[in-house]
Amino acid sequence: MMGMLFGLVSLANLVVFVMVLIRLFKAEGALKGILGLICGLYTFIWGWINATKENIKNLMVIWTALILLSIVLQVVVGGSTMGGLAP
Amino acid sequence: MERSSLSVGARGSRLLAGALLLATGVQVALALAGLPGWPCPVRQGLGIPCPGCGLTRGLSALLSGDWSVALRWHPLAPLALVGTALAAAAAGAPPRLSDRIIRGAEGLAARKGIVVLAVTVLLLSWLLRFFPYA
Repeated sequence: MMGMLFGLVSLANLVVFVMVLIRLFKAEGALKGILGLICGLYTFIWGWINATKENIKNLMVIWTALILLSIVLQVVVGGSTMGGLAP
Repeated sequence: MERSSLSVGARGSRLLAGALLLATGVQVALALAGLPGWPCPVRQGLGIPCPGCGLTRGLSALLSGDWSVALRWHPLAPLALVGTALAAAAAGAPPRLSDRIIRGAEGLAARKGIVVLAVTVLLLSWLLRFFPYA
């Protein structure tokens, strides 16, 4: 049950990340977009700094909640994935 | 013509640089402590590493002086270290110096050859992850 929830949260996290990333590409161009693709954290920070300007405040609140939930579930489920790290 | 891709105004750039620096510091500290950090959306959602996965560990290894481990985690880890140093300089330097650093970085980023090279290396290193080493 927890595992399934973690999976759903992860997918939602990915969808929101892509939505903000598309905004980043449109607003800042290819280079910053690629930087955002390499480093999701950059996309997250950019999103919050430009939340009002890009009218994505609600989206950023949802994404933040998903990230926090994902971290909590990671601890609860005992996932071995370290965020942002290759195997 | 694509608008200047690194400029969001001098103040915005410094804020972004400062926020990135803080986030990087926290992420590296968590990695060194063996604790979970920023959950990569691509890795969690699709189960495959994104092109940037491994940079945190690579950066941590570089800060510990272990270059071979750093390059194994991610070949662009040294570039990430340079980027972090630039972000630190942009965030902490006096406004004039900070603006010069940001303009310098913009100038570099505007050179298509460098961007193409960086993207090529990034994609190649990402694709190589899917082939196990002998």
